[in-house]
Amino acid sequence: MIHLLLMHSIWSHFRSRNRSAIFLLHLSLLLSAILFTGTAWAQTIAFIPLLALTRDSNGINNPVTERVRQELVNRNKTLVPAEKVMRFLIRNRIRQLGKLTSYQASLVRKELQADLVLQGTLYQINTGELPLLCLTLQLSRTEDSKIIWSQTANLSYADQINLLGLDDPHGIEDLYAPFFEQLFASMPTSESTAGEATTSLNIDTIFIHPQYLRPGEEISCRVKIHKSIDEQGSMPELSVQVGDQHYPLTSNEGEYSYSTSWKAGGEAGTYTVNLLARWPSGISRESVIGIYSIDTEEPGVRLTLLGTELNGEILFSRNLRILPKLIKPEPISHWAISVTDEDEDVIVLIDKTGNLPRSLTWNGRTSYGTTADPGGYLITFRAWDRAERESSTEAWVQYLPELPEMTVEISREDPQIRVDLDYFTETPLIFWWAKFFKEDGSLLKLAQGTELPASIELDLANDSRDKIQCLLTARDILGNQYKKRIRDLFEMAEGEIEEIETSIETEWVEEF
Amino acid sequence: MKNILPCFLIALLLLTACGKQVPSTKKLAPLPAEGTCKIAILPFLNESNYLQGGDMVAKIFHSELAASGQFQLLQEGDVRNIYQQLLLYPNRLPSREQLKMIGGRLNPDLLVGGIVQKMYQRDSGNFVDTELTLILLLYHGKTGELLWITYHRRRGEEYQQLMHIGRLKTLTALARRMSQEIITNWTNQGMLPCPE
Repeated sequence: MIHLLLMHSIWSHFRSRNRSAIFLLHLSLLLSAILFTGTAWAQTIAFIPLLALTRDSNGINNPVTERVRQELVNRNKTLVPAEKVMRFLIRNRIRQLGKLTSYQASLVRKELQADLVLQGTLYQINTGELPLLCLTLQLSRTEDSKIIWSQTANLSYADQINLLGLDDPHGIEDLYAPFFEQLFASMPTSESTAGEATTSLNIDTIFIHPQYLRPGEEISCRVKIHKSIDEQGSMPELSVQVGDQHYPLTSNEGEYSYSTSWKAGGEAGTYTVNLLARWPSGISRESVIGIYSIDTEEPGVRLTLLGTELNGEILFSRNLRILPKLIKPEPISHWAISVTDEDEDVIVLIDKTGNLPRSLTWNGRTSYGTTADPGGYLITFRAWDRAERESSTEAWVQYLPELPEMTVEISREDPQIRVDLDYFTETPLIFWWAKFFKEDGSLLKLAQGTELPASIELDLANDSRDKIQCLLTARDILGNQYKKRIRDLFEMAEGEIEEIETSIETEWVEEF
Repeated sequence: MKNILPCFLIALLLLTACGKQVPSTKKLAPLPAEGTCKIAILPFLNESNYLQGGDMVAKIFHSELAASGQFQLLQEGDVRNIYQQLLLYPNRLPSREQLKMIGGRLNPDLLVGGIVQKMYQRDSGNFVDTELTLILLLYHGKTGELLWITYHRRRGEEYQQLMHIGRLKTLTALARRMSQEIITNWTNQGMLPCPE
């Protein structure tokens, strides 16, 4: 409109005979036109289909999108045709709605000749009897990606209910008018002033590997950047800066990317990687593209074994709790534990990624599913930090699941009977006791102690042949328990075989 | 009896007003003294059972902050793009090193992260019950240092005045209102807008 008036004014000015009078008239007309067209909207808007979070994180809702588009047209907004917008999204492989990047906004400007881009998100919708509609619209300039307007609106049937129930909404159509009035109330009516052109680098992909390394190791860096719109598509000279060092990036043929590599220094610390770009026109830009850490120290690892300590050795019979701990705590990439027997055969091997477990329990089972033989085992624990520095420690343990081995000898020397107890297992006893009962169930004698061998003498009445029953129990320091029941001491003395009960206490354990 | 009833009603009114209804902000370090211009909103973590709750609250907060007209909000797409390039999970809080990288790329004054702890909307006959519990984390845009933590929890019925008037009947409305309360709280706590 302004352009047409201006053209008309200039043309008339040159045609007029009474130049000055007509020129002044036209100038006043032009000024008034400019003033009164302050509310006109000549900027083109590219309206991107709404992201519908009601469906999923990348859903689309065509009916509401179309309705918003219609409302914008009704408000005299100049829109890029929907088909052109859709072709643009497909051509540029824009798969995520409501999240355009600055680079993609610049493409909107270049390819759709749009001054503004309008994106939106639908949060809640109910098109049924109890209608509900909630969405956000966001208007950004395509020149500098600056957000110039953003508005969220929400309306539900409950908000529209009247006291007498008159004109209550019965469908989404009844909500549209008040909803869009609320949504567009604050939308700018005048043209947005031009902003400064974007000064950031349009980076497509970055690859820096490894991110944790040891001194002297090589770091490789690969970068792909979008062609800059404002530099007429010419590619800049690229280099990577780490501290004071610069490493030029070279083009990889056929890959449309640039790469370089360098050796890590010897000083521990975290280093920032900057990308520097210099265009032929002299413009230069810089952006942080990553960091890497140089690790010069191992974390160190220590094992605590919760077994029974005897003469400096750790013994266990059922479960051995192993508590690994880092001496210098730091994140761990992976760890491994192994159990090796005296023949140097590995019988248990486990490795896992991530930080150290709080505790582990070995119940004497091998990785093959069998039970390990009693004996000495070497437990080795290793941990690697993020720079693959290995720390390890090891400890010997004795696995002794055997029952205490006891002998019971009975001899009769009237008027006494003598019971000799002896013990042959190396593991010390924690206690033993023997109870002798008469035939009527009354206790004849109780003997107990912590050391064997021992002799127990029972006084008998002359020529007595009443049965004497014996219960014998012994437990070693590892919890292995020996139990024996002799129904008749006299029969035992004559060489009869007695029933022997022996056991190990059991409980649930976490296996590994 | 005549004396007890007014006292009971006054006590009831006083008791119902006891609930803390303003956002609670803990300051760990000062915000940039020269004011805050550019703000980047990071993806919010969703610990609630409401699907897309994190995305929804982050977008509403982004919209309300932009609508306040005091700050320049960076494009959500630019933040998401960096998350993809740096292989960061949107459902995890970034480490300080990662925040420094995001800051180095986008050059904001502040980074805002968030956790949606509880979020639900339930239609219970005559009323719609809504509830939202939110934690917001303000980081320094360059160093990634955690500066402020804000906790806010509201239910839609807490805004009810007379009959059902004022009650917030959608989660969007509740999230908008809470976002506005948080922005006001931040401003009152000393967050300076962008100097023109």
